[in-house]
Amino acid sequence: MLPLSTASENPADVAAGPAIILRGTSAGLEIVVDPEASVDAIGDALIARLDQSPGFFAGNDVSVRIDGRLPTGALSRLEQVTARYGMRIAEVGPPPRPARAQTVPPAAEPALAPAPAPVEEIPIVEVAPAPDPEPQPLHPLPTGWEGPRILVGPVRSGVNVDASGDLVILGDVNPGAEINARGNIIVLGRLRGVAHAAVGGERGFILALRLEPQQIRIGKMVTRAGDADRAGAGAEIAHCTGKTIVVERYQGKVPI
Amino acid sequence: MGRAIVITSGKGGVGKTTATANLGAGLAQLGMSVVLIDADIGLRNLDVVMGLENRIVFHVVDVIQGRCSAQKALIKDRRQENLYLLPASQTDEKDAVTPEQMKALIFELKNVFDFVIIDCPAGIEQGFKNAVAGADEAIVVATPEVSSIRDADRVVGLLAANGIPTALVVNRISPHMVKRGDMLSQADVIEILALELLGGVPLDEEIVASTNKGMPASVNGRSAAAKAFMSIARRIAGLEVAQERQTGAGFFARLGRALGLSPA
Repeated sequence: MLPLSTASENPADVAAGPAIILRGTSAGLEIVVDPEASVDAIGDALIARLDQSPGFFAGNDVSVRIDGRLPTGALSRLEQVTARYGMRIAEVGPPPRPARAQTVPPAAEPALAPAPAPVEEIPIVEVAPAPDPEPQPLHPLPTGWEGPRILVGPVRSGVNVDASGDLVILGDVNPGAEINARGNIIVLGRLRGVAHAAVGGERGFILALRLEPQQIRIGKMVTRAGDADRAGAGAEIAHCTGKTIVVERYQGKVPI
Repeated sequence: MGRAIVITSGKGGVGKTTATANLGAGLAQLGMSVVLIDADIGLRNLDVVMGLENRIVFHVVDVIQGRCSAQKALIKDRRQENLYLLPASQTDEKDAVTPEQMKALIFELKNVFDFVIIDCPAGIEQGFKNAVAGADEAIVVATPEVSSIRDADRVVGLLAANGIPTALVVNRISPHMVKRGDMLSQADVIEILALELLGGVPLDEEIVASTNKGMPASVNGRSAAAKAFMSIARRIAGLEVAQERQTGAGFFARLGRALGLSPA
């Protein structure tokens, strides 16, 4: 994966390598942070990079990739800078996996196109490399997870469903049924049983066209349905804020 | 080869035995040959509802354990020529028979009768397993009460796991209460259970009276409930098509409604 543009204009950083690399991937924008760089170097490098095309990235989510730990204070600095340019940090994590493109011998590249100019105004979104027989998942699953389990309902009373990843039910979940997932739960129907998302974890959501559960559990938190009748609410989503489970109307956004 | 239909519900007291007696009598009225099997071993009462208790000599456990032939244990109905009862034992336990034995017995009876109707005991334990073992189809009886529906839902799941196609009878509907909003409607019940509806039976005093007299109301009965049972019997026999295949609001219908694609 080629760095499309860097903060290398700043001469102080050239010797140590760029403190940050901003790049577009098939999964979205990424800020790759050099684990050796200081908080100030990271902040300055990012400002320098974003100043090249202010406003261009506004409204985008960006992931922070670091091979190791972020230096103390770096995340808040990054958040401060990205917020100034209208961006939002969606996640922080290690690089998904060593980029395949790097192992391709460079000799193969020039035949297709001349080397890109070092100063590039517009970040080019990486196009999937042609000679790649193995498709790469957009969002690699955590180890031990399976892809979503999809089940056609109704899930009836007395039935227990477990999923070691996300769980999608096409149909109703009736009272007396229990559905559990290590990931999130989506019910395209009425959820009237007990649902437990993020089993063994903390964050997750439960989404249903009609959310009328006996009980909702997310991670270690439990909540039960209110006694009031709230018919006709439409699609709703329950998620965990860390302190409490919040249920709200689903408006196309997943609060994770 | 006849059809073996088990009448079940999960919850007790919703009208399984009454439905068995009335649907059996109804089918016999339509000219079918019918045998009713009481699978509630130890707590028999189909014989009482049929008014045949004083004619019992042998019972289903005798037949299964080889103490007599099935032919000998069958009791002919008082009014109808082609209706028979195979009563349960009152002194044995549910484990006196095994599902395999029931299966063999029902298979034998299917060779002789058009319909073998099995009255299932309440619960989902051994008695239930025995009763459903030989059945080709199931009818789940539910009343418009949440407890009944909850148990029926569980039973429907178990029947589906056994690969038995299932239809629904909603019993004891009180139109007045539904109108007042104090009772779940037939549509509410179907919506949860998502089954094909054979029919709804209104709450009716004549059923209680006829049960106590030991004469199923569906034979020449004039009440709404008797007519409802007759209509269900015709549907079972394939003589009447459901006016409306009310399988409830299906998943896609509701999905569409939730997305605002179709009117509610």
